[in-house]
This record gives sequence, structure tokens and C-alpha cells, in this order.
Amino acid sequence: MGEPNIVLTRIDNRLVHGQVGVVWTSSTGANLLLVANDDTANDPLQQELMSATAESSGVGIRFWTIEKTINNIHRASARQKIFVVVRTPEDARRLVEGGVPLKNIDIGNMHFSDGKKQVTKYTYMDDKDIADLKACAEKGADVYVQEVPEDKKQPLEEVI
Amino acid sequence: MKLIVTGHGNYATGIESTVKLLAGGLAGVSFIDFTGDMDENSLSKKFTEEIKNDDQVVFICDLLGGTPFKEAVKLSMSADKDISVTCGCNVGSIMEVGLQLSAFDGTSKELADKLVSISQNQTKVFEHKSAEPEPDEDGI
Repeated sequence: MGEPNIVLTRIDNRLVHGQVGVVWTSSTGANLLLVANDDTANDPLQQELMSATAESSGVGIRFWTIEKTINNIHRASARQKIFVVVRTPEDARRLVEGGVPLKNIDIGNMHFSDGKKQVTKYTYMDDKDIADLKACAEKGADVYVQEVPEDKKQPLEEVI
Repeated sequence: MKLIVTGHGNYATGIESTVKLLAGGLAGVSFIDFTGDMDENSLSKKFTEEIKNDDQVVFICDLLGGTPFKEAVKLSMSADKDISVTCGCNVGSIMEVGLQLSAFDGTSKELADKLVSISQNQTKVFEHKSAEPEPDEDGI
């Protein structure tokens, strides 16, 4: 089996919500949402809520831990156009370092919390976030901030 | 094809703000409020002005039988264009149809039917069920 066809990876604190489930799924042409998140993989209610969006968009959805994603992504079929959604830069980095071929990493919503500084309108980062994102870029991923498809991509190096 | 969302008060621009937050905007979709300072004629004039460069239009109205609905229907009968009028459609349907609008090449009636069927499909009571999806036989 060849390389999995990952059309986009998005970092979003809210994982799959209206914007991601409807707008991004539609604009990427993905037919499978892969939520790579350790908490959600063990949280039936979160899964149920995110499945509702996927169902109405007519796409499949999987809820895998980071480890399961690393171990199983290469079983993907060529017809599966996969949209990977993660919650944090750290998880994106774990995937990349685990050999998951994330070529485009879109930074969406990263909410404010203590110690994080505003980087763009919807993204707040601390030093660790920036280091994790840089590590993804160093592995060859195109890393950028883009809230909605209509917005221009802001490359990582221009915002940090 | 143009979509026009219209309704009483700030219904249209309210939906516009939702669409903006979700998608950043939708090309080919217009939002026309029917506010307290307007009458039927001024609303109808706005409609006419908005569609002057379009041959195909679907109106998405807030309320069956309300003034925006009635004016849209009158316009659909009088204008020499392909116009359909819906009411009661929801944001989910507007997003789904709006995002694929440039690729649509059917009639206004076909698009209007699609809006209504998506709206009906997305109008529901949330019911618990197991969310564990079956893996595909081929792939993940």
C-alpha cells in the first residue's frame, strides 16, 4: 500500500466543530475525518457529537489515539482522502515524528491560556507550541495559519 | 446562480454574520433585511436591484407567507428569469449549498429542492447512539 493520502491537517482546540466539519471538510474534498486525539479516543460523548457533523457532511470519521494513528495510518486506501484534525502542536509533532506524512499543517483555533501570547487573531502560543510547530516544519511540513479557506495563508515563519 | 437570504428584522444579516464566522463569506450569496422602516415596494426594489445581473436566483425566506416571501414570489412570477422561492431553510443548508454554488449547473428549482431536503435532514432531535464507526474493509 502506498503513502496515505492526507489532504490536510488542522490544529484546532475544538477539534471537529461547525467550521471544521462543514467548511474545511467541504473545501478540502476529504472523505474521511481522522481525529487524532488521546482524550477523544476514550470519550464516547465527544465522539457522538463530532460524528453528527461528519454524518451530515457525508464523510467517514475515526477517533484514534496518536499512537494508533502512527501505527495504522499506512493501511489507508488510496481512495481515502484523509483530513487529520489534532488539538495541539505537540500532537502534530508526535504524528510527524512517528512517520505520519503530514504535508500541510493548518493552524486554526488555538485559544488563550495562561502563559500564551497572541500570535494572530485566533491563535495564542507559548514557547513549546512554537518549538513543536518548528519541528514539524523542519520535517518538511508546510505550516501556516489560516482560519477559514477564504483567508490568506500566513506562513509560520512570518507570524512567530 | 445567486442565492438571496431575506427575512424580517435582521434575520438576513444575522445569518450573514454566522456564515462569516464559519466560512469567511460565501460568493454568490446576498443578504437582504426587511426592517421596520421599509415597505413592500422598497423591499421589492432591493430584490430587483440585487438580481439585475443574474438569470437564475433562489430566494431563501424566513417565513412562509411573510412579506419577504410574498415579494420574492411576486418577482419570480413577473421577472423573465429562472427564480425559485424557499422558506424555513436553515444555516446548515445555506452553508452546504453556498460552498458548492459555483459548481452547480442545474435549475433554480433543483437547487431550491436541495436546500429544503438538506434543511429537513438537519432538523432533528439529538439521540444517543454508539459512535464507534466500523472500519472499512479496504483502508482505515
